[in-house]
Amino acid sequence: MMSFNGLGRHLGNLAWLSEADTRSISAENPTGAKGAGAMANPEPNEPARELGRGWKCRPYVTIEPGTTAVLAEIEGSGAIQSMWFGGSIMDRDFILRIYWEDQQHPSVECPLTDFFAMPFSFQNPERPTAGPITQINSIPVAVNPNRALNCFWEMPFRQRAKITLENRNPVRSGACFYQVNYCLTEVPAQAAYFHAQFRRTNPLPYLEPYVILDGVKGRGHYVGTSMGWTINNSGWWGEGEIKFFIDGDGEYPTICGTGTEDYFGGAYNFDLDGTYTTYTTPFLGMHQVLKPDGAYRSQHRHAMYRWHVMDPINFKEDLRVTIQALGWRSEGRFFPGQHDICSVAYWYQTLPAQPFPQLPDRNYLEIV
Amino acid sequence: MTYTYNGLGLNLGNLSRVSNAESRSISAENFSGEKGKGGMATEGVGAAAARELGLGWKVSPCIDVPGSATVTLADIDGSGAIQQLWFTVEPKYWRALVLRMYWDNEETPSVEVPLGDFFAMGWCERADIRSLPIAVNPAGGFNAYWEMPFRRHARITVENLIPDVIGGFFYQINYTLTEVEPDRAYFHAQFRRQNPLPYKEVYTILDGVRGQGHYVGVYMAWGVNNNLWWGEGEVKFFIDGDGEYPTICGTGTEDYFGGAWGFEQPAGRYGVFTSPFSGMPQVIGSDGLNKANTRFGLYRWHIMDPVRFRQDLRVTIQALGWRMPLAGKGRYLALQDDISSTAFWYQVEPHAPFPALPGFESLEVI
Repeated sequence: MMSFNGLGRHLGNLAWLSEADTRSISAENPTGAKGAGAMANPEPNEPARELGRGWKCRPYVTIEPGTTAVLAEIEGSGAIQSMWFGGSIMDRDFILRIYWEDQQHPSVECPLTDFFAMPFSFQNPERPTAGPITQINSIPVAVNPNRALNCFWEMPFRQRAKITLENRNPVRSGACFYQVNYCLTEVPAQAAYFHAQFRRTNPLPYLEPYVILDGVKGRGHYVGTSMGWTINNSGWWGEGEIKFFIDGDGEYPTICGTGTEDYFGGAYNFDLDGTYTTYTTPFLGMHQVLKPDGAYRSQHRHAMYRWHVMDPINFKEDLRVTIQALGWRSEGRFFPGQHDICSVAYWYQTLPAQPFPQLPDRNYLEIV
Repeated sequence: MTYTYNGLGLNLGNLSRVSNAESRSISAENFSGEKGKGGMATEGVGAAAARELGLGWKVSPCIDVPGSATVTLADIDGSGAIQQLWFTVEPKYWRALVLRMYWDNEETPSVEVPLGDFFAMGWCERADIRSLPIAVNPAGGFNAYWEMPFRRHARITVENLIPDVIGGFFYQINYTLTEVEPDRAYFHAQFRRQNPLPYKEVYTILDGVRGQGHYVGVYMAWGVNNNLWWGEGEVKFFIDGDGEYPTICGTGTEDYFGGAWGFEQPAGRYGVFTSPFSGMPQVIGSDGLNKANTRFGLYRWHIMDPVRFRQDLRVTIQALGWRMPLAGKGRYLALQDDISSTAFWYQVEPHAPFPALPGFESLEVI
């Protein structure tokens, strides 16, 4: 007699047995059905033509320009337990969406690379393996050599789950390698649904705070922020405070931080002896600094993440999250920055969820 | 006050819970793990150095493992769980020592793995690992955090496969004595090596598993026997009676280990990485002389995403690279590499006995 449903996994409960069934969707088993992996036949022009069926005949799907591919469509109750993506899909033209149950609007809508805290990734059409990437060694997200996107957020569903990837590039197709590992099992009543929302404001208007998340209605908890920050002036840029407005808070938030680098678990401007110093730890990171190269790559950029795994921010009705862009001007005075800022907010909440703001078009998302 | 929490299933989020579990630890300073019996040795490798300081001053920090002999490191009565292991010994002995674990007086071991491979260090050369269940720290400190429950008894042994005495063998086995719930499974680890893999055969990571449980990870030591990229091969999980086709099929070797694009980063070089759930912490290249081979260490821990089975499990991986394109069309090459693996899983007992562990000549890293 076993009562453990196989969810809530961590290193300490690996010995627990469960009746959950493990499944996995990839291009080699697009439905995830039991015993239905690696059944594709080799094509005459493909490299497996001499070895035959079972020898890596269909490791990826091609997403044509201007189309949306359904990567996973799962019936039943269970949870996505990990996901992996690779391929020539590493820029903002590729939009990840996840739909839970019968909701018509997505609960995750985010450029693929931003979802994995890689806001400055771009895809070189000539060389799919080239381009800047940085490793992330956190618990829910790992980015590994080369351009491999991994996440371990547990994402429960009760009747169905759908994952799509849209290619917004008008001319270039994308080779999408992916693996969605999930289990089919009973989901307890208190399990909420995973959400992730992307935003970008470029440039941030003078004296306005940057909005990370707003319009959330329902009950849940906020579990993380990843940000890409391009600096539009010299000087230290991270004095700004993060603010969490919870359950009807008005002008003043319940939770107020003390500075941008402080929120991301750093301190003193991330400055070690005159140099920004990157780090990637289980819950916190400032994992990428892109510096001007002296010619055309003229921008200074930072990528950061903060996972509220041990300290989620609970809300019962609504949530708004903002952060200031704040630096220094003369005579010891704060200077509100007008930077190019983007973010992904990660949270769990009950359904129904509010539809997200319209995702901006590809020109607005592009990193130039 | 009576507390009902048994002290197992620990994670960072439940550390505030109080439990009546008892903590014990076995090392060369307390061979039995008994309460109040640590640091009592009067004989040991540190006896000479401690002669002025006396009893309690690191008299017995490690042991010698005699040649061609098996030493019982831990012999624990009662119910509880191993919570952490730490070992260190010279790298050249990492494949000459075999770690075994027996749960509840079973006849055949549930863990039978060369010491280094158990800690994802199969090549007898150090590298750091910073994952959740396994950490390898300077200089060659082996740590494991797999929870390993037992209900009546636990026995851990180490066998020295070579005739030479292996000195400087350090170990610490941290465990707890407490009640173990009925739906807790037993920890298992099995080593395999094929050198070389026969042409067009798939490498078997695990086969013949019978019972209910879940696969939680693999460490692979992969030596390549030709040039060019070697990791196109797919991992396949055949679950509960799957026939020719598996339920779970990967898309490439580096993909399974959480990487992509041949692990090439920056361009022209392998990028090593060690993250909580996967890594390629070790890339060994030629030194330009007699250390001629290129070898890789890879791990993938299924902690958030274990692979469950009710009756049986088989896990395979292909060794697949590229040969010369003909008529402009690329062709896969089935590789004949030197491949070792250590599979980790939990299952109910009894387990099916393991295949015979190869002898030292077949384990040796040359």
